[in-house]
Amino acid sequence: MLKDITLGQFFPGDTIAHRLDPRTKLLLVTLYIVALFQAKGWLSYGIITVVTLSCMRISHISLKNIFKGLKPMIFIISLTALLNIFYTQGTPIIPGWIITWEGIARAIQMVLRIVLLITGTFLLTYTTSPIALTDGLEILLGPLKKLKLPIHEMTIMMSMALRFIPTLIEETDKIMSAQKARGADFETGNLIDRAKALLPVLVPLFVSAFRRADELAIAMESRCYHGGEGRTRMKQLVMAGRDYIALLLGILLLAAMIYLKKLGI
Amino acid sequence: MSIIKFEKVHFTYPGDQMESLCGVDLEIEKGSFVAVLGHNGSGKSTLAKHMNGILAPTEGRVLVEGIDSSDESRLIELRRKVGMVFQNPDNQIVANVVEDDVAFAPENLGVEPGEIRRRVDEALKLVDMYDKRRHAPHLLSGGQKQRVAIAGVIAMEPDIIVLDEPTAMLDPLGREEVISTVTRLCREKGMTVVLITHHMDECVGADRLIVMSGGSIAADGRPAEVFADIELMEREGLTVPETTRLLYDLKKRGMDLPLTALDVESCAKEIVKQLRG
Amino acid sequence: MSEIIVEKLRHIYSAGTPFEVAAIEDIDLVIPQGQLAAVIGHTGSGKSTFIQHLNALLSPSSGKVSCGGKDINESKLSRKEVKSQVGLVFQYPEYQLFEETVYKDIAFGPRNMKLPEEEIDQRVREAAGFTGVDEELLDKSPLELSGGQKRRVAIAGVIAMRPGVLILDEPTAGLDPAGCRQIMENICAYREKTGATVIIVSHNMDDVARIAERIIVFSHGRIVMDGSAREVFSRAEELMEIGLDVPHATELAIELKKQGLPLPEGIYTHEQLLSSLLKLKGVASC
Repeated sequence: MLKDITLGQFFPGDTIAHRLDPRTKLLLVTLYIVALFQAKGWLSYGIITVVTLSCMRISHISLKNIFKGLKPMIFIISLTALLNIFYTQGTPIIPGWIITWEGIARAIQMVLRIVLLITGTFLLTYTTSPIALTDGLEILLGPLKKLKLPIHEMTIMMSMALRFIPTLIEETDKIMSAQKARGADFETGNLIDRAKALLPVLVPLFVSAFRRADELAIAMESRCYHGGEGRTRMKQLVMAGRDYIALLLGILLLAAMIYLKKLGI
Repeated sequence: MSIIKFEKVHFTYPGDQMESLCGVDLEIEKGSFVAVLGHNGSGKSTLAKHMNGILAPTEGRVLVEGIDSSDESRLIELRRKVGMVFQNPDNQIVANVVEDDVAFAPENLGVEPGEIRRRVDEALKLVDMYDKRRHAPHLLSGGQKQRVAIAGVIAMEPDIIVLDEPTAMLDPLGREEVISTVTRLCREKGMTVVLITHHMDECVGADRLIVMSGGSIAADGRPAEVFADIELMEREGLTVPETTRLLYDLKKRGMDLPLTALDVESCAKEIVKQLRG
Repeated sequence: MSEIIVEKLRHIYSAGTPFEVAAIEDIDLVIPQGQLAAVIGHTGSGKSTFIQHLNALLSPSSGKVSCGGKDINESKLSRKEVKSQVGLVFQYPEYQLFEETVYKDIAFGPRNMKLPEEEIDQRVREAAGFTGVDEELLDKSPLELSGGQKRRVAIAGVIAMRPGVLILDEPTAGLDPAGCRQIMENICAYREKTGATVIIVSHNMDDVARIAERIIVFSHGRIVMDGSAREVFSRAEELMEIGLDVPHATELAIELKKQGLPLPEGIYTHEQLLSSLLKLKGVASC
């Protein structure tokens, strides 16, 4: 059951989206998010939606994959929709009602904004391996090292976390089975009972995570790890023509959104 | 020529009363395959951890190719020469892709990218994992993970490879894969191999067998000779190969047999020779 | 009575997806009360899936498992009840210890059975006794113990439920020879005292040869051999073909026969090999 969770969420493939440099994709997502927040009118939302759908097409990511990823967010999305429907001033759809036309419009726009935001980041993680992602991030944030920010440490921590997610999920499964065999019950009782029932899983999991961390640190030092200084990389990131074109398109999208916002459409 | 040298090494873990190593003197020959046996708490893992400076002696010194393991300024140099493989394969693989993991050590050493690629490919071919270079480590079998870990240290191009109970968590097939891989590294690549284990089967092919007990060396010699001292092995809570035990029991009952025929074939040959007169 | 009857058991992972695989298929088996059976097979042969069916941790894709005459998957209650009748000790069980003290950890199973406090206390002490966990260890934190001790505490945690059937998945994995020997002795002692059925999954053929009354061999999700140690190890070549080891004594006996000694079939322990050879020597010296 736990094994079915797709964390890290990388779908290997060979589309142009997969081949783009991770730095390009990180920058594109940033541009995309900023552009999304410039969107005010229906035309801007329409453009961004079309752009997003085309990107999904290019990366061979189906709507189904996106919906699967959106599932855990359904609560937040519905809450946003409801709040906007009920708390927006304007012309009531039926005189005397609390629900207004403006409210409905706003709710649709807000939901669209959240869905597009999540879809955009999914497109990044679905098409980029975790290692490439952290490598890209480290280089992009590289200049911040001058400010004594521990960028290398942060990115290596991220990649270690990603590396150990499957291992820890597998371990959780094992511990749960073992405790079930001793009569532990994770399925009945109220919320507090269930939270308590998780203790016999969480404690061993933490103990084991600490042990792993300890052993991993020794193993890393034994392989001459001594921080980011003087480190090289086997896989060099190279920006190709397609990266510059993609970035140009991203900038154009942002410019268009700002222009439309100025026009008030 | 000795490549590792322990000089009267004492070691006590911080907070412990008892010494874990009590004055170990040891020299390991370049290019040899040395197995270290011992029950839990005999000091065999502590011994291993002294070989690449994870632990430094509280008294005495350890020299690896002339480098004193207590010299912090030369620690990286020392660790590049001595590759370490540990018990739990999951806890020594750092990357999500096999080849990225193997590249970890040379990347740390600042090796130039083209050269890293060459080393990674060569190391993966040596352990017979090249076909799986783009796989995610957590989907491999235990034996395969452990071979990736071995490739990960070979990519540093060390002279010595120390394996601290590398097979304890593996099934028989995985154990066989790991042992035949390290044997090949020693025999074909001339690497010095130190194998810490509690499986006596794995020591049979070694050039030298050291038995640790209570922080000291209890026996040291060719595996056949060491195993032949069955009383000592039993006193140490260790088992001996079936071949040695059978020869020993037959000898006790009046047959004139050498205890040193360790492999199944030569043991059988000796027995047949005796029975046929 | 805890006779286990397995009928046409089949388990499919990821059913209904393109990754569908049958982990076990066509398993028919009766394990009578009190038997000491060993289950052997290489990694991925289906043996771990199989044992998890015996106490309803997994539910069959088809087929039936019954214990003491009752279908264990009949209801939610029966699936729960069977957990205390059939105790399952996983591989590396020490990783499941979680309580502050050894005592509390061993008491976890009995407490889940909602037993009265005196009964729990009695069972904890009894289980600790079976596994050689000293009284003074009971108040310690499990984290302070050695590897072998932790393993024995974890086994005690299952034994404290007083299961009529005790299943252990590689109980000696990763321990040194002394630790292995002690665990095997503990398990045999539990069986002798209580008359429980014991099923051991093991890769150590010397152990299996020494103690098991019956050996069940899994390969590719099916049972390919099932019989006494003598019967199974007489088919040493077949075992080696499916990638399994044979006891060291068997291996040596095969080599001796190859070199022309007239040894009998089905040798699987050191003692058997030794006495057969001494007999030959007697004949030779006459």
